[in-house]
Amino acid sequence: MISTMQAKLKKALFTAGSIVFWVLLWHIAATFANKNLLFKIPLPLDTLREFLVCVKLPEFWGNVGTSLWHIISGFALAVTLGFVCGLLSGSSTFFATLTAPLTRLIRAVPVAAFIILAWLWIPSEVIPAFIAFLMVFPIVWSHVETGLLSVDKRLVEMARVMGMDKKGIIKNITVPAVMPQFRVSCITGLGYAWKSGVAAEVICNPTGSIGAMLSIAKSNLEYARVFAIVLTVVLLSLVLENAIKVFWKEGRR
Amino acid sequence: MISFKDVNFAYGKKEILKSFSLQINDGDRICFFAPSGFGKTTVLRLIMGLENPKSGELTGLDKKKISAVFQEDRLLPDKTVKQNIELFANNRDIEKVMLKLGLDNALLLYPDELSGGMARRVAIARALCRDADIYIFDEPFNGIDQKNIEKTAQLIREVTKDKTVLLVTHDRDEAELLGTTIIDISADV
Repeated sequence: MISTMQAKLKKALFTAGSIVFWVLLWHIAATFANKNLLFKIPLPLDTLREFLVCVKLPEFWGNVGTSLWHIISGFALAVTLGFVCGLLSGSSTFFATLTAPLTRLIRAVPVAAFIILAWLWIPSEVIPAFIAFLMVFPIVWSHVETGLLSVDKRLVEMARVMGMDKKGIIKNITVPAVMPQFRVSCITGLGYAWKSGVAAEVICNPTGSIGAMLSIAKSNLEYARVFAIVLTVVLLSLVLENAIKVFWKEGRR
Repeated sequence: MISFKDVNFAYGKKEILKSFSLQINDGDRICFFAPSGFGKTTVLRLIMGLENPKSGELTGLDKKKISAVFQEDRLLPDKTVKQNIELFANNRDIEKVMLKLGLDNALLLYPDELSGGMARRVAIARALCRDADIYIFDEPFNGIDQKNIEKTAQLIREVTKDKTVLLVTHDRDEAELLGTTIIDISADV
């Protein structure tokens, strides 16, 4: 018990130490660059100060909410459809062969190209969710398919011989084989959804979003604000990532 | 009665059983004996319904309940030992069986926490906790030490008394331990 706590404390201290190291390095690099007029980099303290200013802005939390809505709605749709398509591909060679070109195409086209393409036909408010969907959908699809294909046929044989019905086989053999892959795809996919969704917001500027705020700050050459908004994006990404990890912890061995 | 009549079976082009005929009466205890590749496991797989004969007749398996120990342990990796057995048990006291096999302390362990011999005995316990008409054992004592082989064989004999027992092993002593009659199927193929 004590050794577990000590290990956790040690890990926390190491993490804090590495953060301090990188912030210090940032401070030194920014000071050097600013002094020699190489390029302007805001200092960590200025960024933190600007972040606290942003947090107090009346529109800030509304923008955060909008961005979260964009990303989570696209992510949720991708997880649902990706799961269904993964099950279909894993159980039907015909479906897998028929849809293979589509998934390959989605994976091959760069996210920026998709954003521009989507901009031709879709209202800018919908594009971040659509892009988040497009990035996560093939990840979930392929992981669920892999999970289904990894089901140990020998276990299925054993269960059939020992009188287990189809429902029991799905519950006790198929689902436990698919879930670890599905879990990984959700955790990985959320990171992609967040990055690609914010990128779409920056390019398409849908009103009242974090990406649009970032784009405006960049246009006004507000360096500290750009950094503060990037810090917000990173913090929100960490919150989402940990939330999904906590969610998936339930039921794990 | 299980009846094989002129059964032929092949994996692709590799012929395994050729005009194979055999009758197994209810309550028979048989050990299939033959060198590797002569179709001992194939005979068991045909009886378990996992393969179909290419030609010939295989009858007498309708409504027969089967319980089996496969060549591999085939334990569900995400379930505890107790859950692995409970999922298939239909009438026996799991804890009593585990106690007799000396595995009463392993009920809450997961398969990857068991030694090879323990996992094998759990697979046997799973088969014995299921009430069946036919008990199939494919190399059941692989990886089990001699002391535990005797203990396990005794329990198998107790539980499968008056039932049909089909065994595959390379060891004649094991065939005797389970009170089975040896049939050399390489002579029939």
